[in-house]
Amino acid sequence: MANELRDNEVSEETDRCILLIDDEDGIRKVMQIILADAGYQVIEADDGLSGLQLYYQHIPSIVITDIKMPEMDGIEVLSRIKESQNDTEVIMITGHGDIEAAIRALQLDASDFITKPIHDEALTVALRRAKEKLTLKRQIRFHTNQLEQKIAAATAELAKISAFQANLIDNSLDGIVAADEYGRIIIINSSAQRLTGYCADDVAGRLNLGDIFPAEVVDRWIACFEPHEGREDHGLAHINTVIHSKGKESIPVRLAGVTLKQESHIVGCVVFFQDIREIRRLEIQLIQSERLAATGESVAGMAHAIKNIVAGLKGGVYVVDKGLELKRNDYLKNGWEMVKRNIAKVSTLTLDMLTYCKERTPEYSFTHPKELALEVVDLMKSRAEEFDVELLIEDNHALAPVAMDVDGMHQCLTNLVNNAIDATRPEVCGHGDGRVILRIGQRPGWAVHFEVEDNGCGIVEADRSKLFTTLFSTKGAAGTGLGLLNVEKIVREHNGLLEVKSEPGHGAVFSVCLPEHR
Amino acid sequence: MKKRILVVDDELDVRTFVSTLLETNGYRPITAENGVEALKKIRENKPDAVVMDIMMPQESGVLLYRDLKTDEHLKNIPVIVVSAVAQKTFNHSQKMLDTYQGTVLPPPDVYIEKPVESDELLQTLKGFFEPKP
Repeated sequence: MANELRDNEVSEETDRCILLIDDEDGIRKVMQIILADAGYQVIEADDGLSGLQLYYQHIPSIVITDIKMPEMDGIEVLSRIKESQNDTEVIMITGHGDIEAAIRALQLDASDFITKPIHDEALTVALRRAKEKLTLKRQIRFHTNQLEQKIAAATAELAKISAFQANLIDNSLDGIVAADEYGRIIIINSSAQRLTGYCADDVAGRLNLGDIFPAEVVDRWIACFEPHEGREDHGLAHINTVIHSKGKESIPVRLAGVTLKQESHIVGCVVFFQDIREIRRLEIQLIQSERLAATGESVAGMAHAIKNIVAGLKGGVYVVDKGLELKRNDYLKNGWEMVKRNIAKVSTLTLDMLTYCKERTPEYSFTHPKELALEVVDLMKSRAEEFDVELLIEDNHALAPVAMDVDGMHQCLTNLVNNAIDATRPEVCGHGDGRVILRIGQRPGWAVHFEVEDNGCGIVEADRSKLFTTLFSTKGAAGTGLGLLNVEKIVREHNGLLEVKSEPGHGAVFSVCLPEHR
Repeated sequence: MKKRILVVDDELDVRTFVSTLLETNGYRPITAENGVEALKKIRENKPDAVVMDIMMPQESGVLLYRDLKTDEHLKNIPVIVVSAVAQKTFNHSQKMLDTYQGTVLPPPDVYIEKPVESDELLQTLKGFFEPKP
């Protein structure tokens, strides 16, 4: 806008000014009168050289010059003015029949001709044309300037975006390789260069996708390049594969790629890939730290369980000592019972620990589910009676023998029944109608479905998630949390299914399903 | 006359050990398995001190303690808490119940965290019954 204003100011002042060059006084006088009448300010010169000097001083928009002048003629004046590159229109005054000079003047971009003798109208027309040309030129220049500015701004913006994108591509931690529609690699970013060993100079149209990526991946790509009817498949998503470095090294990567389209034409493709070795290294680190944390937790849990047993043993020893010292048979008997109970606790704990730590595959044999259930109930009967809990078997299916590790499943069901009895003891659940059912049933897709159901205290939701994953126990000093971990382990080794359903106050159902053995 | 000490704990091992310890050191222990039984026996026997656990099925030690300390006839019996529960946790739950019930109960005379050491328990009891200088 500022430019436009200044241009107008300049033109208004200079437009009113006309430089008139003629060696004939008479002609200058006539024209001076006509021009002054038309409102122009006229600067006069009587030869070419002084005319030019005046021109450089005033830079008028319009110059009227005679052609034939001594020293420096009008043609020379015209050519010097045009050389100066100012917006100046030059009207030539010529005598009759001076064709040669007229042609030369035209070649030098003169604005117009007027012939002697000077006619008022001819001069006015010539002036109007000159002014129109001036206006047109100025408009064109103004628009050109504006266009140039806009182009410069847009170019700068484009360059900025392009540099940003190039930066983005180059600094991506993923390797990025882009190829044209013929599979020729045109972009390979820093990460990709580092991984593959190729540098940008190796690429430049000399390297194909097939040089880096395995044939099967490239083939699938090319399949994507072919037009598909109604298929929106633009590429490959997350494939684990192996790429080849410049030094023919194989690098395991995870890659994804898309084909690039322009108005439904495929113009190339981009591949993004990551070095899996790095991901695997991080995964291993994570697993190791998790394992350490779990080990710490287990050791703390074990230490707690052992501390309780040691306290029990110490107490027992104290009571036995007093029995010996004071010859009290009742002390001896009580103390000895304490020692025996705690020794039993240690052996159970040790057995649980061994079961949990031992990596073993189940030793399968075909066993009647009912037989197993009877054995478990037989073993737990006295304990159930001790706490006034009813223990039942429900078997409505008379299933054929199922392949299982009998010892493992025995331990598994014993554990579940034992827990159920603990949850159903009157002092724990608050009622005296404790009942535990070991049910043998069927479930689609499984060979057998054992259920241990109780009407005891139930399990709150917050505790349910910890049951099979941590050394978690609600039994205080009486439990270690290892029992259910072992149940989970045994079922997992059988490729079985373990589920628990419970509502606090309304008992719990533990389900164990075993698959058909192949 | 031997001092009578009521021992309440749901674990048989603890009851056997503590009662033997007390009996062989000149006390007369009375045992209970839970808070309800303990309260009944305390009312019947008026013991000279109570040694109590906190985590017990049915009535927990937290409630038993409140029953004792809000009963005009029982509130002066010294109480020793022997528990795996941290003292801070016990105090916190008492304070919450105080706010709820509008009571201000004193803290237990002695709080021992499990496992209980025989000397500590005996020294504490001795302190209760020796004539104050």
